[in-house]
Amino acid sequence: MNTIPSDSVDIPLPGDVTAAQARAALSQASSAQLVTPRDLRLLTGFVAGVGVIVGAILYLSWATLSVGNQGGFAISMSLYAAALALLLVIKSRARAIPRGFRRTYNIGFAVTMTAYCSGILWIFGHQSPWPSASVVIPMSIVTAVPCLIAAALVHRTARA
Amino acid sequence: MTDQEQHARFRLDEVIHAPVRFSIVAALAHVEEADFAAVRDAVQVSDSVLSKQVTLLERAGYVEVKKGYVGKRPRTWLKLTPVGEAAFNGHLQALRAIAGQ
Repeated sequence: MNTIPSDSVDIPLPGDVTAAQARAALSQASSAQLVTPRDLRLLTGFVAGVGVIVGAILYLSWATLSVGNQGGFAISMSLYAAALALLLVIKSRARAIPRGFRRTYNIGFAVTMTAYCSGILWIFGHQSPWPSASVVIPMSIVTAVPCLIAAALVHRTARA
Repeated sequence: MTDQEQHARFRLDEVIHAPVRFSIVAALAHVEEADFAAVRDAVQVSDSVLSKQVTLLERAGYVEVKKGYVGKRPRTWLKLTPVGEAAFNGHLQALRAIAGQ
């Protein structure tokens, strides 16, 4: 057990704690809350946004490169980078990070990126003919879903 | 005399027991990390009071202080360490024993 440094004895020592004071302290401890609804909006928006832009870049890679539009592909990659930078700014505005956020986000992001890489490899492994939009659009949605689920879990866990 | 035989008040952590420090640790126990200003607003103390109490918690190894920038603005992040978490849980257990729960 640590002891109070001599220059900071600003309260009665623990020996005097009554049952009522202990109950009050326990109540305070369980109700202490730093994460605001604004923080939750920023963090869930960040996680969901990452999923959406990764799904979108999968679709845009196919939509541009399948018709030989290298310029369109470069523009879509630039927009992806700008959107990612914006999302990082949004995340940095959160003043408190709820417990479990990083783990949930990392898992969601890892699964989304696995789906993205698998999708890219599959699409570019089938170039003659290129897969149709009816295949690529669901693949893009599936790519975004893990991060969307992670965003929902962050929201639900933090509010619990 | 063993810990089991001692009155629960002897198991209270004297660093965490102080009201402001208790509020800080209780707030940080619910988050991975939090901005200095968010903790200040939640605990309702001045910058200087929070800074002094956080320094004591940091010296005890209970809180980690990380300084950085968001854009050009300096930001200070506070985080409960595993040692601080264990001490807080022990303190809560002692409070529960005193409260008769």
